[in-house]
Amino acid sequence: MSRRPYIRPMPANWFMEKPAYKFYMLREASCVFNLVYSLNLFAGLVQLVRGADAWNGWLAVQSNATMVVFAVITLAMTLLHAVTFINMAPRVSPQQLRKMIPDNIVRAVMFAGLAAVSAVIVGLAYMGAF
Amino acid sequence: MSEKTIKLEILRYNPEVDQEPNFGTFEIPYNEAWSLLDALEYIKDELDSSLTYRWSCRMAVCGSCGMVVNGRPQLGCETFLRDSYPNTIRVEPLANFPIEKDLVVDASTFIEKLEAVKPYIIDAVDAMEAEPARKIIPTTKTSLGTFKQTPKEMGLFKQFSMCINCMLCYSACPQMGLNPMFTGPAALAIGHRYNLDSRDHGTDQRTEVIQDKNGVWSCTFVGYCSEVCPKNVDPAAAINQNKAQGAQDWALSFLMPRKGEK
Repeated sequence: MSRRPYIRPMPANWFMEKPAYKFYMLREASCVFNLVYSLNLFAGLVQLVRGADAWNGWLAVQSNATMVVFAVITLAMTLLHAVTFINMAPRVSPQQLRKMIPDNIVRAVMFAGLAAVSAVIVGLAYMGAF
Repeated sequence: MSEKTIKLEILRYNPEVDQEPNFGTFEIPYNEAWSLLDALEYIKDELDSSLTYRWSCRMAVCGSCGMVVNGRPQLGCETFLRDSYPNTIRVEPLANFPIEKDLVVDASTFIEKLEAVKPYIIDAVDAMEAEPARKIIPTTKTSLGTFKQTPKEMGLFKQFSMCINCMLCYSACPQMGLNPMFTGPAALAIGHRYNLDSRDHGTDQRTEVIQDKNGVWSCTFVGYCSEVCPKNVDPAAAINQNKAQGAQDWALSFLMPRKGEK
């Protein structure tokens, strides 16, 4: 009787195995959209510095259907990122703090903060501040 | 014998003859009250005595019968046939461990990792002996004698002390599969449990393992470990609290290199 333990290989697409893993990959992928969006925004800033023509050119590119779709997807991914972040945040806070403030209250405060900041930005946009 | 039957697909591996594991199918009488463990016992008694699996308490306390049921790590004793009936139940050994035979895995690496986090109370005397150079202030006057603890102090770590070492979290963790050196959810949660204990003075002795790149920093907060935990230990929270603590210690090490001592 001899031992011959079998080690199962881990498939390269392991994240397709379970819904929980797929959701994890989606959550992690949300940062890629935020990165690309930020780079695009930075490019806009550079064009703004270069003058009116360059700025208007960048604006024209942004109204392209592809860019609009990208912006909408980025918004959805950012919301996913925010919701998952806020749901996980209280679990990461020190255990001493968790025993003083229930997780749900921490989450509620963070969601309220997110809603307040979003409301201010959307409000300013409607008033034409941007 | 009831007329209804249910099928089980079990991943079989006999190290003496099989090159690799293969699924074997068993059809057994369906009994609404049976757990998966009862079904495995029926198969071993009536159909195939070579079926190999671990079990002991039958009541989700011992942590022996962890297995992957329909893709999800679960305790065999807590899984009921009625939750799957009339569908076939697919049973595999815990993932991320070498298969010894059928549903039995080699858990020796887990035991080594568990030992590495020093899962016991290191009192002030033990801590002073281990680190003579460090100034150790006993947390309570009684810590050199009888241990005393308030319910509030116990409440701080109680959740993390509920672990039954069933290793479902190791099976759930993809980082465990990608990096077998990872200390893993249960061992890190248990280390955290002792660090949070007011009677313990061993945090410094555990830091090297817990803050290692194979310690908490191998975790990416997939969070599935906490979802499958049968005791609601929430190892993902334990691990990530240590990341926050580690980052804080790192930053403070520049401001207070002597940790406040002269």
